[in-house]
Amino acid sequence: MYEHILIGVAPDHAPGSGAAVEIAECLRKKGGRITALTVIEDIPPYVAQYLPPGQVEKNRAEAEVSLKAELGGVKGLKAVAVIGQAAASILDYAETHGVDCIIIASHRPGLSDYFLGSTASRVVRHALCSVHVVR
Amino acid sequence: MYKTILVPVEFDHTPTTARALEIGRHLLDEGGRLIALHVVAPVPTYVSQFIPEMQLVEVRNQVEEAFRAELGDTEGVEMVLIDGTPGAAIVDYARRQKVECIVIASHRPGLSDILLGSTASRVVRHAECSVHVVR
Repeated sequence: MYEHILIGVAPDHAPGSGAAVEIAECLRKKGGRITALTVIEDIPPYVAQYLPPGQVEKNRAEAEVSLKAELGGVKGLKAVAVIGQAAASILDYAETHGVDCIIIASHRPGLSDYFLGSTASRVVRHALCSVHVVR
Repeated sequence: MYKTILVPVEFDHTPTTARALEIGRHLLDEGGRLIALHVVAPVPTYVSQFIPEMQLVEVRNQVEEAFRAELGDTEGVEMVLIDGTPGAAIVDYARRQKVECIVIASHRPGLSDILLGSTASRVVRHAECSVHVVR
């Protein structure tokens, strides 16, 4: 069905992005790849100057390790953490890595009165590929 | 993955319709329901008063025929025809039938500079279930 599926995982997501992974496994072609991507928001310079150098990179590496630990059991799944703005980074990663389907949660858990969160809304509007919004 | 999946169908979308049904089949639990839905937009009264009633019945039959032709392989697919405004009618039908996932085309073929068509955009914002936007 799809060659390369990207799962957008919020850094503060509830444990178990289980549904998204399950959907990805249903939708991937035989031999297809799954990438779980989490985006660490960059720290503004007026805050960053008070932090030890390399702090943001350290946070990113830690996020990648914990994402790997959480989802590492899934065959053919790669965990990646990048620094940037959530929607823009997801779209950018999808375009540069030949992603043909993005799976994303509609919004943070608990914000149920929002129909569609800002990140999901941007991704679904601007992506060049299919997008699966999980509710 | 999902017990009930809804695929809204428009007649000028043929290649996307086939893909949407295929995606629906991949995401469907064994024994689940796959529903193809076509919404017939209402004829405005200032037009309908000039159309003989027989004509409307005839049109309805033609719509049903076109619907069948559009779907092609209807194995295991329920066909449903309803009246209403597409965006609202799809969301409303999904709620009443306890649909768990809607698979919808992002826009008409050829309108590639439009990021997300009006119907898909309404459905993705207002549906209470998961939505898969096919591009």
